[in-house]
Amino acid sequence: MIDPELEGLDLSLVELVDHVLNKGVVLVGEATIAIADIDLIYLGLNLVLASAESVRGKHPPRVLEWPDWSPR
Amino acid sequence: MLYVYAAVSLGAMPAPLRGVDGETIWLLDSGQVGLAVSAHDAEVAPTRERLLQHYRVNMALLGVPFRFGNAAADETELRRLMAARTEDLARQLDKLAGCVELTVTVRAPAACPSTPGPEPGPGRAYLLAKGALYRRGADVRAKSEGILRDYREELRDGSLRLACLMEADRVGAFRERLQGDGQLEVSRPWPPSSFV
Repeated sequence: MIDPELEGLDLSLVELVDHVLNKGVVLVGEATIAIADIDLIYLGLNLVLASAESVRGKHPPRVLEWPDWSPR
Repeated sequence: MLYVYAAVSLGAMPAPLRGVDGETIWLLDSGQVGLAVSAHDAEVAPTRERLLQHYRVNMALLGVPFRFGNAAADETELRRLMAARTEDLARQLDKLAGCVELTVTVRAPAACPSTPGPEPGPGRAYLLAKGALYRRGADVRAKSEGILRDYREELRDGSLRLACLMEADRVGAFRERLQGDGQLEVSRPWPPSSFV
């Protein structure tokens, strides 16, 4: 179900990832995001980013290296 | 599991807030700061909707934003993780409480700045263009004097990106100061995550 307060909130995924997923206080270790062979920014998919734990059974986790963005 | 959104002043919780997956947010007293948290049965994996919910909560709280995905098994573990961080977070809260950041993108001019003498080679042309961008960044900062509390500069994709920290109620005045400059692109307000 879509949160009604989010409808009409026009935020690009790139900006959202840059501000909310890539920056901010980190309490525990490093963020590791496992993504299966998807160019997540340029395809612009409304994609689901799976946590390392949830995909560990299917794919070895790997850190996506990106010229403009790297998880810390 | 306790999911953490931000560090805020104790007693600073606004009207009841709902966070990721519609869960109720409350303030955990962590000594010098409060932590805005919500309880979840399982790990909170990132989806577009949850990223938006995390963003919306941080814009409502205007504290020290945590990155999406910070969680602890329970209150005991969260307090343990926080034990060494509380003083630092309190200092950051003094600086960032009530603030937002806006990104100003300075686009490279269509033509390289002209210089006397023969046409510069590619290396020199790059340095001239880079210098021009940083000078434009300095112009932005000069125009924003009295509003900007801090800034960060970054060259990205041939443009200069300035993360500009300001009090939330100064956003309108900041936009007015930069109005009419066609080479500037000013973002919407974001939680001040570039400054933590």
